[in-house]
Amino acid sequence: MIEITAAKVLEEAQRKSKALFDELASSASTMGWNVHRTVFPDQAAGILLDICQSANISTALYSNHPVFCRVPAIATLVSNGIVASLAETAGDRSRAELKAAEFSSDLGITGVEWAIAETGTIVLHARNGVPRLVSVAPERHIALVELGQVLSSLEDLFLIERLEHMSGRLSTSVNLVSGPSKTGDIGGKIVEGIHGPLEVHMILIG
Amino acid sequence: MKPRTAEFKKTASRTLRDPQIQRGLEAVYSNFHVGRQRQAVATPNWEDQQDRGRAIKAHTIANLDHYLAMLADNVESNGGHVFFATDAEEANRYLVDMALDRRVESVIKSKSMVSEEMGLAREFESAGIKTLETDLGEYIIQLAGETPSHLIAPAIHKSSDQIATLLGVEAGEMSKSKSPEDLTRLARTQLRPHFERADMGITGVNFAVAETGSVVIVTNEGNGRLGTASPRIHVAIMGMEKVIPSVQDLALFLRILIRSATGQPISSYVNMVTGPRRSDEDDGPEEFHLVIVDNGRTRLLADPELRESLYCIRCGACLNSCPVYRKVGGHSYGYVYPGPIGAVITPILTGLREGKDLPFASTLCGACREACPVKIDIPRMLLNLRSRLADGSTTGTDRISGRLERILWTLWRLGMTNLRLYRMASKIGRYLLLPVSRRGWIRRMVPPFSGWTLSRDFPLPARRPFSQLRRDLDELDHEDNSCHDRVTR
Repeated sequence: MIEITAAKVLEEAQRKSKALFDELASSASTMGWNVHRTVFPDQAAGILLDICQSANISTALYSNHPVFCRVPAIATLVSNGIVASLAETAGDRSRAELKAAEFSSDLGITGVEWAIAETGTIVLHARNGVPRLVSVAPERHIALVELGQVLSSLEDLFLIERLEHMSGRLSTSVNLVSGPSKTGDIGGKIVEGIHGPLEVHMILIG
Repeated sequence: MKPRTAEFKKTASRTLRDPQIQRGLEAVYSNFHVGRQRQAVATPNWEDQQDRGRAIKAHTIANLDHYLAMLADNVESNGGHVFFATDAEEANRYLVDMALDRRVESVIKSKSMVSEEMGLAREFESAGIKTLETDLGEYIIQLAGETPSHLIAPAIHKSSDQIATLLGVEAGEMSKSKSPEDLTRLARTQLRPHFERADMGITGVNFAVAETGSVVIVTNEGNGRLGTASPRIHVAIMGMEKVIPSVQDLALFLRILIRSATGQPISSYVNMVTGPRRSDEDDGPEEFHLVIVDNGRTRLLADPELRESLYCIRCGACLNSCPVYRKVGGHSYGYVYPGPIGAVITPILTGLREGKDLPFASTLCGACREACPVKIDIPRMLLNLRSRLADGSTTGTDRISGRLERILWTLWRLGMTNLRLYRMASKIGRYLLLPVSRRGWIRRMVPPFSGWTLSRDFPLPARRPFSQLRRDLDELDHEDNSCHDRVTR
């Protein structure tokens, strides 16, 4: 039963992908994301570079999301003098070293599992190759969202997460991110940039 | 936390005279409550969602043992540890023992109201473990040595100047700027190294999902995410009523919680944690502990009149809508939970007699019931507590009404249920009060009624009461009608 409903949700995400992209662009913007949009993966790499150069980024970490196979983001950054490395503990980098890198990098770049049009949200699942801290420790975070990854509502997302659980695949850390970090604790005035990233960008591709 | 419910009137008087706190409380109203009202209008099927939320909570609380058992089983099969704590002391002892055993030297804390009940930070400090609050509002009041005055914005009673001083003392030099932006930046810089180095992260729990053994942490600041990702041990502390059945219920609950709490469609971060990290993950905690705390909640559960207070999802909407809270502020309530929900649960959790002022700190306007995302009927429960205090139906020692009060109420009941007595009492009353009245108004009544006229005048009973006027008019009508009949015949 749940498989049937989930199949419908996924089918709708494909069928209405353009409209959902429009809706996401609008809701994300309201929530404080800087939203960029392009049809071409190469242009996405160019947008990424522009953002980095405007913000004087010198070091970046990125996750092992499939989007980086289609978007030549990392090659573009590296050839323009930005030190961009994969956020993982393989090879000679220990967990302690990765954590230090996560806390000292200027920027974290990730793909997403899903996005949610209702609330201007991206969904990240921690797993091998996608560490928790890469999207929250650096001052800036850029999320690459591809056409077809956008779900309509929170109900759709949690239906899929339930299915993940029933298949034994629920991630140990599921994160819904809906804008920059903020607080209203000083005088009731909303200020962006406390603890989590102070600036977040969403690049919609497709 | 040691309750100070008996100081309600004193603290309330002081708060009423403090312009800084009054400004903060106005901000609570204009930011959170107005925001919530906007969401109530803008969100499709808002009423239905609240009804469903209430129904899910009612079902869960009615089967709490079943869902808590499911939750514990799933946390453990995910590789986590579960501890059921009967009271604050048990919870503290478990955590201190475990922290010492794991050689924990520093702890970072995200917001957890249950940990305030426990006084956990103090227990850890006594054991030599440095504990830092990371939620900006909680950090500020930790520096000030105070307790939170609001569920969502704990430092709302502090001015920018006061905050600048607190942060400046901590930094060792005063910040030149007092703007919220610069102070926020300063706090970020102060707290960041602790996120990187702490051995243990402690969070609260907004929702615990029984089906999956997950805990859900909702923040805007990101301290919840950093606290569950960076340290090697993650401890989540929850009141036992925070469990919900299924991960699919989260869509509804996140929507009604966040929109009711701050008026945002969603918070910046919602983090669902299911167990410690897997062995092939690159970061995350090695250990996960869930502490499920009772601390008096079984008393609420066992009480059919007050059980629905356990549906509370701690959004703070009732505080934000309450005209009394908005004047007397959170500290007056003397415990962890202020405002309307605090007025209901605090007397049961910490003592009815000591908390006797709390159920009376209400105009019963019902704004809280309107604002509650799970439609808890707070006014009904406040009335119920008042009657327990008046007639001592729970225990004899709880009865606070004096003999004079009971005599007066008996006389009142007699007068109100007997028409002749009522009319006679009105005539006598007018006769007695005429000497102290001026132009039909009484400026000052005699005790024990003098409180009534402190800020208003009392009207003198009329020479001809309305019921008499009515009868006279009826007679006139009757005469008119008979005239009319004679003329038309």
